[in-house]
Amino acid sequence: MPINREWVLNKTNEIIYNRYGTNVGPGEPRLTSDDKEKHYWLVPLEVDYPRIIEDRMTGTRRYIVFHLGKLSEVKFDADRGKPLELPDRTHLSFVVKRELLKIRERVEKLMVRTASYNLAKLVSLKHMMSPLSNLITSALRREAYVLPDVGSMRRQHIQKYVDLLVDRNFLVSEKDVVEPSPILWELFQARNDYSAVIEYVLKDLIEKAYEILYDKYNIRILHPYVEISSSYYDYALSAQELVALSTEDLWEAYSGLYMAFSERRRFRFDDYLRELSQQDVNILEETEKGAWKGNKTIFEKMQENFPIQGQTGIITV
Amino acid sequence: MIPDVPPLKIREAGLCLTASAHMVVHYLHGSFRFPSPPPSFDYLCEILPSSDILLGTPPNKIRDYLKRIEEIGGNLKVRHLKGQDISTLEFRVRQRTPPIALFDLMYYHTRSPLSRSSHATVIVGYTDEVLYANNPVYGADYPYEKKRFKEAWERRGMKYILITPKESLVRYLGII
Repeated sequence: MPINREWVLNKTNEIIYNRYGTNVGPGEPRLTSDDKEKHYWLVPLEVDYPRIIEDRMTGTRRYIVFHLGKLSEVKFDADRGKPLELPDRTHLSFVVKRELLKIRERVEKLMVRTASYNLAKLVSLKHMMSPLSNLITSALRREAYVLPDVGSMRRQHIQKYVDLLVDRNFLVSEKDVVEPSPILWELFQARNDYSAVIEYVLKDLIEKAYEILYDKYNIRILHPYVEISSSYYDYALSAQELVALSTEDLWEAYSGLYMAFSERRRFRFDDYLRELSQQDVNILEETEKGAWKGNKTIFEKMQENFPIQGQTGIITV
Repeated sequence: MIPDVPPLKIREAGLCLTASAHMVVHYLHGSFRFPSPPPSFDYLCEILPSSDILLGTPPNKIRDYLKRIEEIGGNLKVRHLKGQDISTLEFRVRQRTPPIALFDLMYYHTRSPLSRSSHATVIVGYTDEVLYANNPVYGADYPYEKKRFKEAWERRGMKYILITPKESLVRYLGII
């Protein structure tokens, strides 16, 4: 074979140097052939995605590298060394984005599952979901609650909450009447506390129906809280520690991960942080130096279910 | 030691080469009188393609990026070189032309063979034991143990970049 492994490795390094970027490197070349017995070298393009995290309490800087592995490859003619297939830079960049999105989604799902009870205690959420709590309270108090007329504005407003509660087996509906389901009765009888039942229902919806809340019922109130919390825990999990992030660092993490660069979101950001750090909610905690740290219990539970160690390298200075 | 290479610590990883180029360009501006002021880091980042944060800057494009800042790019020469040994970098430091070395940062620190990326850092000085670098992640005069640095540098082909004023400018300014 005229073209050897060293040659294709050097050539791929050259291509990366000229075309892709410092986060890309070649993997182990593989020799292959087609049914016409023509030989090819396939060289994987592997990507490391770096992240810098600075702990504002200790001043420690961590350089974290996500080894994303093979995301594309270069194909060479093994006789003449001519590159036959080269992914374009935009495509490779798109694939990296897609991989990072997968990590973000994994963290988000885990965060929602782990901190659902904390999220259920958000005052804004309870306020925005008041039709839901009204329905639960009325159904429990009256044992059967007659819904407003189908054509009325009030009915239109509460119908999606009725559907949601029926969907999640908290209410039973027959024509225009809703009744508490056996599960809801059981919950109520155990505590005899309406607020506790409402929090439990919210917890269940967040934990098990977070995605359909938005997709099916168009309930968006939770999104910024979940995204901001998830951004913090994404960073903490990659640093493998409850790092203290400044408001600015956290904003950059959030706006970077969720492409959330908007004046409106920035304006409301401080208030979201305040709500997430309220005593009952306790998803974030403000430190003496005005930085933000996560909740140890949430973090440790997430860490158990997010074995990231093998995929990252960390340098601490 | 080249004392007047202004350090730059970045917050976003993936821009280490851009930050290194920025440090060298600012150093050159301090040493030579260019017709226009040096670009800010934000401005330099602005002219890079947005995908660079994901893939890192392609080293060979540095000259093109600098050329986009017309007055500066027009007066600069960018060379992509391969070293023989650590002494190559030391020689450049003695010449007061800070080299931007590309090496395997993760390997240097952890000996992990997993890493595929290259890290750029500006070499600004040396002693018998260490090389000093203005590292875009760690800041000024970060000491790299020479033997380990050589191994990490070898893993990336002992490549380095020199950014210098064009000879015509140097002659015009009567520096040499």
